[in-house]
Amino acid sequence: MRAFVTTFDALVALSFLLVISILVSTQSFQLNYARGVYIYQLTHDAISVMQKTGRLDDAIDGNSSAVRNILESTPEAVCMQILIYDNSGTSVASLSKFNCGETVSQLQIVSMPFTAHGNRYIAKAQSWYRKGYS
Amino acid sequence: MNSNPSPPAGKSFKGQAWTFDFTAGMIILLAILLFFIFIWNGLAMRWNSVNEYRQMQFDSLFAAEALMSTTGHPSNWETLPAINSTTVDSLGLVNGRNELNNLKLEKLVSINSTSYSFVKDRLGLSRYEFGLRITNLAKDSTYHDFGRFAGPLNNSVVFERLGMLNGSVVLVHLEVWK
Repeated sequence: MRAFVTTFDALVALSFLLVISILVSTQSFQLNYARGVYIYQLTHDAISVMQKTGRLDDAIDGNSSAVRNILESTPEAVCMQILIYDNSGTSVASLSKFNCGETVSQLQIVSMPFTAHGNRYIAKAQSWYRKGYS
Repeated sequence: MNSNPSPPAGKSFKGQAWTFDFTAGMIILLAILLFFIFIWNGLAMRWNSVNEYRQMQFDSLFAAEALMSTTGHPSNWETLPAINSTTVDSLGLVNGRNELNNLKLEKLVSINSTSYSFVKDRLGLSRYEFGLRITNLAKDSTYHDFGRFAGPLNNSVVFERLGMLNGSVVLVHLEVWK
């Protein structure tokens, strides 16, 4: 009986060890931090070029095609949304890249104040990785 | 009738049983040790390759940021007659953030064959290969091309940034690989 208990005990311990080993060896190492910094840079680029080329002004006037052109040119893995608020905090424009769901992974936000037609606005760009790319 | 032979007088099979038990135990222990060495080795290799890739990602991030947000040092490096370690401390391609300077881009392309290693070195990418391509947003027209491109390699880092060139919005495709 004593030998049986010892063998059983050893088998249980080995099974645990095996399961832990398999779990550890099958872990995928995530590289999320640098990817997060990258989409922050990309978001910053997007809002910066939109502002410098007058695309944000156009979006306030209701012409969103130029902003959308940039949104759709960003890498497939990245989802991006542009929101523009006036100085009372009211949203005056909201544009999102097509086919981007609600799944948010590594959300990065860049806000930038700008002036258009003598009025002050805040443009807020937010980006995240599309489902399946995070 | 007992089929087992009796041990000679004064001896027993107990010693043989212990030897067998010990040998079996050693074999199992050795198998477990080998299994763990195998697992550990696999993990170490993966961890090394992940670390290497992570380092490449960070180096690429810094290189991309240097190119897209600095003028370089000296800021007029593109006008210098010679581009080398005594004349240029750092490289940048813009006048202001995201505003690409066409002269800097043309100079960079012109030194592709002579100073590729120097450019990599100044961007902190000396351990890797590196390619930079400026295209329109639709990617059907290439304006400038520098360096070497990996193609569809799994271990390459590809970053696409947005910039402005001569008033138009362009894509800056940066590829770092080993």
